[in-house]
Amino acid sequence: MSSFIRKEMLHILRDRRTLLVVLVIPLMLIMLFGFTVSTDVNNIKVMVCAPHRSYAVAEAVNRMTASRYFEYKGFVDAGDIDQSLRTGKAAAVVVFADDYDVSGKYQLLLDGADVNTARTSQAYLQSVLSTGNVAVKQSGIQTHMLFNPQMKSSFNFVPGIMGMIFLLICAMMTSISIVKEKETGTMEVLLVSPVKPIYIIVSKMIPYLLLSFIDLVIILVLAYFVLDVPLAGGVGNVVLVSVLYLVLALALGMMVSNVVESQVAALLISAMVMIMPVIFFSGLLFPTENIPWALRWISYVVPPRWYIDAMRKLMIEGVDLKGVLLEVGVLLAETVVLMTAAVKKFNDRLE
Amino acid sequence: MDNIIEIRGLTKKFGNFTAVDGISFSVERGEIFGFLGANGAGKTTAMRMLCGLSFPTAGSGKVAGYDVMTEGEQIKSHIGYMSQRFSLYEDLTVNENMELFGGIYGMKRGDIADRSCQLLHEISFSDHADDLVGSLPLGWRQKLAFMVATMHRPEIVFLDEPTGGVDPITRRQFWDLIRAAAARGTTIFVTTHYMDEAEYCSRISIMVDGRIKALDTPQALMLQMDAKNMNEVFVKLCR
Amino acid sequence: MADAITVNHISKRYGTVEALCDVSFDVREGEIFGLIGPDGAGKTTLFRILTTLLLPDNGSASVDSLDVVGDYRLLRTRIGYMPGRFSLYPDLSVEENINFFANIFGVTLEQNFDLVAPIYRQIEPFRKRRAGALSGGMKQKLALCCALIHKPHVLFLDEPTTGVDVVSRVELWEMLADLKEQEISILASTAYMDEGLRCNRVALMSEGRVLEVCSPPDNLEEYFIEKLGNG
Repeated sequence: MSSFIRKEMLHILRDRRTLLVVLVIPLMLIMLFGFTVSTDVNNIKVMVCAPHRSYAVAEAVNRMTASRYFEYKGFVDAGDIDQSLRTGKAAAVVVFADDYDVSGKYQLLLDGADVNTARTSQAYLQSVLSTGNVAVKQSGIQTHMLFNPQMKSSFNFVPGIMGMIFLLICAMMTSISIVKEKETGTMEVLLVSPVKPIYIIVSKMIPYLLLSFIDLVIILVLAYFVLDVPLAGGVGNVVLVSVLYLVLALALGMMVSNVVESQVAALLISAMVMIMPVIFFSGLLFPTENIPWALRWISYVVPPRWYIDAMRKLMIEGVDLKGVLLEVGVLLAETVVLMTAAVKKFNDRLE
Repeated sequence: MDNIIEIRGLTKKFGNFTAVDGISFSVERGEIFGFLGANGAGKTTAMRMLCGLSFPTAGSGKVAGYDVMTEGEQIKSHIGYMSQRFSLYEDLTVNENMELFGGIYGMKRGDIADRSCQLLHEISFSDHADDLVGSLPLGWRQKLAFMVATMHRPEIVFLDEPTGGVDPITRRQFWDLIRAAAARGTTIFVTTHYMDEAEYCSRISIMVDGRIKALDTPQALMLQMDAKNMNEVFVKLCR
Repeated sequence: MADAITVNHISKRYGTVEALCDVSFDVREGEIFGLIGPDGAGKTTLFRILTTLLLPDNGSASVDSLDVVGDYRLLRTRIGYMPGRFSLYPDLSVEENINFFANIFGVTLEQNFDLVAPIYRQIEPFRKRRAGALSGGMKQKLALCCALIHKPHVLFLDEPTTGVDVVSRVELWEMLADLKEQEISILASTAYMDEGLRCNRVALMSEGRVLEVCSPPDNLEEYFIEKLGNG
């Protein structure tokens, strides 16, 4: 058993290029998503249209000017609003009501050509305008973003990337390493030996479990220190749920290697069957609520969806394990089912 | 004398390692030349240089009238090549394979059709022209691969272990094809691990550690080495 | 004396392809038995059934008096198997390969050193080298060493000499002759007729059938061609 694990470790360590890729990919993805690909909106060009330039209006304008999210572009006449938005002079215009001082009423006009920016601008503006004295007194609706007040997108991406990377490393790498042995004929010799299939499975899993654990540490360190993701629910809980997910991903890899015969097929199946659903169904890019109901049912089965949900809750909302019981329960059940199936299906014959 | 291959001091080095160490020999037009050697003796490397697939580190020579140092591309289009590992596309039919390889060597459409017809007729295989190559027994595939390699009427054909793993009947039929092609003037340059096949060759060379250790007719070599067959000659030379 | 291998009316098909059709023969204890035939004759399928990797559709077989279906777990401790195109782990060194295979069979190199010593001494100079960097003949020796490490009663070699040069082939067969002296029964397949002559008995196979079981006659190739012609 120990020699088996040692052998797997040697395979991994000697394939320097793959090892490097496996360790560098999470680093790159986190950096890429954390800094470059960001849905955060900065420097929104805002103009203001106000019939009475009262104290309350001036105060509101001050707050906008003070915020790094806005670039205050001055006042605009009601007749020129359309033109300003069209020419891109402004991305948003705040129109204060005649009786703003009393009623706190205002209107937002946004450039809807870029929906995402418009939506974010709207939220920012509402948040800024709702904190003033007037607004607090009079406005009917107050919006507060809990847990992620600045709506940082990295908070959204980090759990998503974790869900994807672990699936990639555990599932894809294990399935490829098993199928490789089938291709070179060494699997035949292993099967003919007295080694029990369960040992073959376990010793294939352990090195990849270790490797993904290193990745987990890298990601968490980066997330916490570089991207300021709070890890509010406690590092221990995050690691615990992640390890469960790692085991699940390994079991998935085993299943794939049971059904395919070539490394290329293992790669394709891992990529198509596992990575694609992560992107579509797990809420990494699109909110799961927007998916049509038939597909939403599929998303209920996809493990990363539950893992990513649990990670969001643990890392950002700061709930403890009790808060993610449902997610953990589903993951645990899926792990047990997949693992049993993988061990059962891992034939000690060739057919 | 009319030599189709004529090389002097051909050498190939990979870093510090000398794979082929200054080999010199010539092959006459129309002869069946057996190119033998132990695993790792440098056979494959030497053959790749002769086929224009890699440039020699040193030496000079001509294959089919073109310089091995500078005219690799011309050499490639004037020779035929067939190896045990790659023969034909299994998911194409016999005819489609012939069209493909004829096209690769720049033959005209009409010429390809005529030539395919003639070659298939020669091995009595015309009825199976539309069969998928993958559905044919290995022996037939190898024979077809040889026919395809001679399709563009090359002056010389290189065969790299053409008969690995086929049954003895097919092996003999294959050698009948080789001899027929040689009788028509095509030069055959062949490697094999079957020593009985070596005895069918007009002349053979035996490579050991990057050098040619012996080169003569099989009969002369057996006499020289006091051996009763080529197997013994080989073992005595290589051990 | 019991037979090392008995094969009774074994058949096996993959979909519509009949890989083995009513194959029967016995291998006596301590003999080298050759399966001679071209690619696609069913040799590899037969090896996989006898090494418990495949289940036969019909018929039965036993190796070392153990049934290949019922007693497969116990049987796996008593056989050595070298599959065709077997390349070991190219990224592990010679030494690491040997130690790994010794370990999965629950033995050490030292325990059965007498048996593998003649082969091991030849590859020992390269023990730090990666298996992938060995020449064809050396690879085969390493593979044989790994297959013998647990002192099997019966040794299965599927085309051990394909793509190997004549000198290495001769050496391999000399090693098999030595192993035979140590009372290991050997079943080996080959497409080379001259290797058939080195077996005590051979089975001539073609298209999933055994055409003939006999002591190899001197003109084995002619004999095989004649049999193929009749079949």
